[in-house]
Amino acid sequence: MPRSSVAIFFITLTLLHARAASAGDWHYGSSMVCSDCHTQHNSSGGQPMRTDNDPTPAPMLLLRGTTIELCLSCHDGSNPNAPDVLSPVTQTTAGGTFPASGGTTTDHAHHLGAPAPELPPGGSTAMILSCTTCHDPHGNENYRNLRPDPTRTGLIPVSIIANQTVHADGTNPNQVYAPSNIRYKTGVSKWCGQCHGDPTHHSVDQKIFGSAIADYSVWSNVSLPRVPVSTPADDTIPSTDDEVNCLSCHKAHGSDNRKSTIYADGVSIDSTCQECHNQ
Amino acid sequence: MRKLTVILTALLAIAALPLLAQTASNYHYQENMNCSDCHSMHASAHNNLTDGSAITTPNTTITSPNRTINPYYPAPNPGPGRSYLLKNDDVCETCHKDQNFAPDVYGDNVNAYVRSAGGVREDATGGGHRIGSTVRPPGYDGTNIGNYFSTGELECVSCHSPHGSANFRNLVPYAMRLAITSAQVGNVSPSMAKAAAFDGTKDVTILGGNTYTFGSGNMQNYYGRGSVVYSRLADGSEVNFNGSKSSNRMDQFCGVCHGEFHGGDKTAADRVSNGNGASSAFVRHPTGLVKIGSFTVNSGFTVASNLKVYQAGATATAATDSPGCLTCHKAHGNNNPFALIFPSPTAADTTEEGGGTYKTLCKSCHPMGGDLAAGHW
Repeated sequence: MPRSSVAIFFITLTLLHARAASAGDWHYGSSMVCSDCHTQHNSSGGQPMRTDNDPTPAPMLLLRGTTIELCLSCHDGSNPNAPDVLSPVTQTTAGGTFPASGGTTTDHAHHLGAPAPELPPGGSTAMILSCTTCHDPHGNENYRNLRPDPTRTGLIPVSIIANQTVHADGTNPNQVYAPSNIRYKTGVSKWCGQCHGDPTHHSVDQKIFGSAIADYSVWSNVSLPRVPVSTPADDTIPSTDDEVNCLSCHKAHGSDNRKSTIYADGVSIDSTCQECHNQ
Repeated sequence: MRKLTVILTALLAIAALPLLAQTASNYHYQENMNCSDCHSMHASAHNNLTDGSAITTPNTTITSPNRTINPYYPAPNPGPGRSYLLKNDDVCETCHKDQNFAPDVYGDNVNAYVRSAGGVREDATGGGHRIGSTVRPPGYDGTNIGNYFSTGELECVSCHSPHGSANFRNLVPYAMRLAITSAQVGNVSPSMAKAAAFDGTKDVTILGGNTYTFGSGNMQNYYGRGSVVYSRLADGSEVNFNGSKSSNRMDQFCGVCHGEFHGGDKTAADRVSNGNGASSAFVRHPTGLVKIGSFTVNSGFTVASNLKVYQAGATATAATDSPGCLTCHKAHGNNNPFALIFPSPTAADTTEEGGGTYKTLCKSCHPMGGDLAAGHW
């Protein structure tokens, strides 16, 4: 193989890798079309255009009455090609699930559709959350289409950088959202901090290896399903660059546990703590 | 001396008549064409009205006030009994289908230019107005049209007057006029200027149309996309019809048949929203009223001429211009669904379908979902 061809090959590989780090997700670019979610003209002959057959025009020409209803019309498990975020789920969900609580907020998940603005724990901007508070429904260049400033108050933008071997193609949520497909590099805790402020309790973005509090030998020999960590220097877990982040203990959407926490053994929070700490 | 003045004045007036007519009218109107171009008066023996041979050469020279060359074209009538003594069952096709002496408005263009209106459809190919269709128009609200003209089918004359009018492209709410009051007719009849420069007082300006000579000019200069500029009538000068308010009568004209795709809840002040004027309250995509500049325009869209917006001035400007029906749709049709235009954001389109995608149409004005400049079509 000529030397120039080798160079082009590696340059291409490098570019592909960069795209994997921050190239946006489904909903972005050429995936989906506007009419998947919006109606342009609304009804003809009084026929409902909304997917719930309600003839009432919806805000923003949506096909459902609210953004949450619209998002869940694909993401409630009814569409096997879209990630299911509504409990109970039958597929892997990296962000966890929201309880099917009929609109009542719980302490197991982010409070979507609260009746009045709420102050996020640790935060300073009261908000009524919907799916589109955190995710840009039109997509953007960020991991999971996350908005760089979900508060929309002019904060310095923050993006999560993550590597994914498999990208969403509209048919493969089980592969895309499997923990083994995701390698967080940077930005997770800072992004959460846009709403929740800087953590004042457990440290984040600190290496497990060499920590006076954590025990790398414990982490490197975990037998339970590993909690997520950031791995900025390589894609290998466990390895000495592994760092704890918010998602090491909490599910982004929610879980079956209080505060959306992860129970590594499915039973108690202690099992999660014990993946890093030898107490 | 006085007699001489009168004679001179009369001569000047006569000399000016063709110019005035040319300025104000379209082809088919006033001095253009003869009745016998389309109608047979006697349905004569063998229907060969001259020497018995078929007439196959069209008029190519237009003289005023009357044409003199082959007045019996398009063709001899092969038999009597046609509606309205027409010389052909589909008499419009005779000149307007696959011909190069008159605008080809059926299907793809046999003449090499991008038509402003595209071509009507006759079969299941592509999207747009389908000649012969008996299906109710999308958005038909059941109140403004009883049926199509004559046969209950969509015909050319459903929209265009074959006898001409002063309106843009001879558009008249022809088939529907019984249901439209005389007071309403003016609000659904697009006015036209044929001028060297944009005329914002008219609904449409045909740029250079004032010097265009029918039958001898390049059709692109009159019927081409680049020759047509739609105006956004000034704030306060909007027109109302059927509870809808629009800044260009083209939209009102479309709304005669597509009423439920047009306007809002009919009672809100702006006639397009649910009442509070917020963008989130639109009942349907606004046409001809809301300024595009109300929202952020996608910076990646760089070829303004690929889409026709309703302009407040001579140059398309997002801050002051509005979208209209014809911003997104070809009036006749094209090979895209619903006759939509998929504009290329980066290059001048050489087809009536456009060189972009469905998303480039929406994203021309709406920046969500990635920058067109980054290739997110």
